[in-house]
Amino acid sequence: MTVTSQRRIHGISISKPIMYGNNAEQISEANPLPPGAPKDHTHIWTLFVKDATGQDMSLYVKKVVFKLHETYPNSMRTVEKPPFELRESGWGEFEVAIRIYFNSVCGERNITFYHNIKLHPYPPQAFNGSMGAPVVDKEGRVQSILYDEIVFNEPTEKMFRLLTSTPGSLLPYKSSDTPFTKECEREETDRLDKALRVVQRQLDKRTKEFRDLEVDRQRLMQI
Amino acid sequence: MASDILDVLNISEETRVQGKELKQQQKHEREETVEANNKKRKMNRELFNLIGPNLPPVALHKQSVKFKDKLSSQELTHWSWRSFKNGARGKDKLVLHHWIKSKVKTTEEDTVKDDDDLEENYQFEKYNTELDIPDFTEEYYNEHLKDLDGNWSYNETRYLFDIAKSYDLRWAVIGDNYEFVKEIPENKEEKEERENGGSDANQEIDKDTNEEAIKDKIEENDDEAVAKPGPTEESSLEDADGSENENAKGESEVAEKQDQDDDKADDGKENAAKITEEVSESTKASESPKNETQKEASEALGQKKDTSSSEGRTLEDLKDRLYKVSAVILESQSDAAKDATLIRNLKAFDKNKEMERRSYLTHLLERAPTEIAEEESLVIEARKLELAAKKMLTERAQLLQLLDSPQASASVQKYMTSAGLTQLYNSLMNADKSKKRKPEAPVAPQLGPNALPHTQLLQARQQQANHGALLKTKKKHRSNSPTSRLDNNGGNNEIQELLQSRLTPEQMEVYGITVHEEKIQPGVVIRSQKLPSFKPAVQSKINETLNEMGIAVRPVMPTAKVCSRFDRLLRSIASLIDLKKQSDNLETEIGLIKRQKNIN
Repeated sequence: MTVTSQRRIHGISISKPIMYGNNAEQISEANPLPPGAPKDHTHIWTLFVKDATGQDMSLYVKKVVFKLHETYPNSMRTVEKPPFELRESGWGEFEVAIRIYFNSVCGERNITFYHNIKLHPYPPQAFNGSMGAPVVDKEGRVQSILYDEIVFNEPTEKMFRLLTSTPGSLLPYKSSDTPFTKECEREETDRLDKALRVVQRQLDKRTKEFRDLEVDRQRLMQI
Repeated sequence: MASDILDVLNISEETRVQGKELKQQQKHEREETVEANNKKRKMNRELFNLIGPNLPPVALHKQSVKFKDKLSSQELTHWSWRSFKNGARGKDKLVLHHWIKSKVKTTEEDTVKDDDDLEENYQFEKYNTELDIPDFTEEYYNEHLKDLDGNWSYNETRYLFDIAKSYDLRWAVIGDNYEFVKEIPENKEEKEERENGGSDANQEIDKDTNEEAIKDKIEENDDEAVAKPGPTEESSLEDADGSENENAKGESEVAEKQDQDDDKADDGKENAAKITEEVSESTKASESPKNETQKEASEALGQKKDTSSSEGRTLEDLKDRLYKVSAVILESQSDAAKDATLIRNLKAFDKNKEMERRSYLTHLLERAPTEIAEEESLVIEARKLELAAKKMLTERAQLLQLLDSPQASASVQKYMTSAGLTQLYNSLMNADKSKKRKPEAPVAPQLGPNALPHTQLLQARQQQANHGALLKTKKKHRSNSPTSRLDNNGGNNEIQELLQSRLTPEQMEVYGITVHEEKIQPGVVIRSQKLPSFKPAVQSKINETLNEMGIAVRPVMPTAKVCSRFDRLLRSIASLIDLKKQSDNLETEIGLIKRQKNIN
């Protein structure tokens, strides 16, 4: 680790889109309970973290640690090679802490985020159409996938080099593989813009009311 | 211990003995010092043992406490036994002695001789200061001060001034020691007066005679009812003042006898006896009643209850009297202008206010613990209310300010052109200058290719082409794009070059690079975790609002664009909620004011 590698590049930040979540399948004859697993387990699920554009994360990710429910043996599971995923069986939904460790040469601290493992498809209104709402995919598996971005603020020079070695932050405009596309983003920005306008209108209205009240109060005070 | 080490090192006894013989002499000396050191520093004994027979060639430096030995070189201070007189002691001729430093060396004979010398200036005499309390004579008193307060006699005033002087105006002490027994000093005065011949008769005579005439009637009653000395006392005082002056010598003898009797008798009897005397006097005096004097007399009678004994005089009474009299005296002096402020201050003394103050303080002191607790809790409560009101006002002011500030959502379209950008740059520069802060190496904005005029654009293209050829970075083509902030880094590696070479917005997006103008916290973050959070109460309301609008509490795709909008939305909702709350507050306040002022 040289001194230059620790030097940070000011004024810029680099973002990498990621996807994380789980898919789950009920135990059946086609999908039998793995040997050694407790008998009461009803599902087999796979927990994963991957690049949203399908790139190799291992360029800058050293390892991913999944912190499972304490009832699992060795509840801290470390995955050091891509794909960064974990296959397990279980009967219940719980929150997993996912910690990403970056290449130690880059001198970045690890980051932690959380995911609620979903085993059952919920009616969509329960999730208000967002946030990793579990959906059933073509193969009949329950999926709960979330999108996020890792933002490297003022990255070190080494990290910068790693991150820019391949152009890979651009989301596909339209894709059948992933729900997270440019189109989806635009839909969301449109939705938000609309909401913003609504709120702004209300805000203006309220502001006027408030001012009137204030004037009223001033007048009353002077009487 | 040393032997242990020697054993470990396999040094035989013989060699040791040889060594010993060689250094026998030396060792002997050492041992002495070692012993001495052992005594002094027990702690180091272990250390000395370690040295063993192999004594170090250099003598250990023995440190000892050094005393000052040059005392004799200094000259001795000479003290001499001198007698002195303390001027502060007043007139007594007591001669005291003390030792003092004398500069001149004196022999013993000299000191004996000096003994007789009286030291004139005792050095501490100057600290015996005296207060400058105005003084007055009886004559002056009768002329100017008598009408000031009928409640006070000359003698008592005199007594007050004396006691004030002797206690240096320490009012607490004066208050404690004020024990004016009217008759005794008064009678002495009387005696003196009579001995002097009572020559100073004045205009008061008329009044006095009148008073006496009135009092006659009262006193007649009192004569019989000796048990009531109070009411008559004051009047007798009044009389005494006046009658002294007009008394004939013949009468004074009688009075003297009477006085002597009085001394022994009880107060009541004294008064009674006195009154009889006064009565006899007054009958002889001429009778010319005047309204004024009548009033005065009756006043005196009215007040007699609280002033009948010295106990009745409160500290405030004393102060009031002293200050008033002093003010009058000072005013009448020729250099009154000099004491103008003093007189003003003296006159400013308000007895009633002082009494009020005292009663208030007494009350405060006598509060029961429960009362104190209650009061404290009330004070705390009041303070809380005050704070809440203040907080509300500041919040409201902040909100108003917030609403007045330009909306962040204003279009940036006008800064998209070169002219607009230059204008912005200039205005920012000016703002910078006005802030007095030295701008850190400002770099004029390099405009995007689209904003450049055509001629410049061509030049730039050429330059860029050359530049790109020279650089040979491993990256693909890059075109111009403002990343001016990065220029001052001065790095020499390819990253700097890469950054100095330009990226189009599209390329930036491909690499996920964004350029920040403001300072950002270095490190890695998850984008969605950086969304603003609010107090739980506010957060729940925000979530409610989001749900109403069909927007998820967390964005589906937290990209930079989405997050910035989401952030703005959250903040807008938060200020909307705040505004609602403030409006409600304002409405209640208006209602309150209306109720207070009975409108509607």
